[in-house]
Amino acid sequence: MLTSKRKSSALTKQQVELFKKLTAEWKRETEIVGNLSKIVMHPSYQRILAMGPDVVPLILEDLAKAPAHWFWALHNLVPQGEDPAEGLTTISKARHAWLEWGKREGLI
Amino acid sequence: MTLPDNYDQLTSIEKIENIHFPVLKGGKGYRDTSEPTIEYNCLAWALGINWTRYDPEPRCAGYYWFPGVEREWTINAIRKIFEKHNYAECDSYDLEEGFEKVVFYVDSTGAPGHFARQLPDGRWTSKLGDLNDIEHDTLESLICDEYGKPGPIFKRERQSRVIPIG
Repeated sequence: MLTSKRKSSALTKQQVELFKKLTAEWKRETEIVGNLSKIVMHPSYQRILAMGPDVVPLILEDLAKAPAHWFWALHNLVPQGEDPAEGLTTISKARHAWLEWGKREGLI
Repeated sequence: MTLPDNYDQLTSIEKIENIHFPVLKGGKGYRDTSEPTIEYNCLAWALGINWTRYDPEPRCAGYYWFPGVEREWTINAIRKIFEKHNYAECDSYDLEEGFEKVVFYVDSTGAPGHFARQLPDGRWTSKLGDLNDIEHDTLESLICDEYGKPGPIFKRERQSRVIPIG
């Protein structure tokens, strides 16, 4: 279970910087791609995913700034069955659901 | 493709003209018709849809796929989606009075790289990934490694308004 403790203590400064670097690489190198599988299989995205659930608050923070293709990572980083956006078919609704979930969990 | 260090500082139009599709530089042969958005993708836009992204990824929210069609980003699966929207494959990219056409771009792996829809005046409309959608004079202007080149072409009777089904 993700808890608010993760928000402040789980990641080192270096990990936060790495997240920002990988996020920037991923976004710029997939910006003209229309196929989600290709977007989420980008090496930088996969490295972010490999950082584990501790990275969820950073993803939510980025998602709060602007829509992005984070839902696949979030779905795979929270426990099975806890995806708050399950079944939603638009980016805006999925984003809203995840951000509301993040607030409820004390992650943002 | 190697992107310049200042890529993130560029506007979406600068990215389109200076980086991804240099033949469009200076607005030559195209015009942008939306702000950048990730709410829909090139496949949805080719179907006239701007409220969701058509994508077969089944493991997360935010995307839509036509019911009953294999969940795969392949020519064969996407062909079925267009057939369900009353398109049939044809053999000419030329404008035909009364018909609307969609072309599949095919990349070097044989996978669909992009989709463009023909406008009533013979030009084309495309959604460029997470950037803008544009109207472009030619199909050739969007040929690139990511999108590949124009491949299969489909047509249906032109409709006054596209109504998503499914």
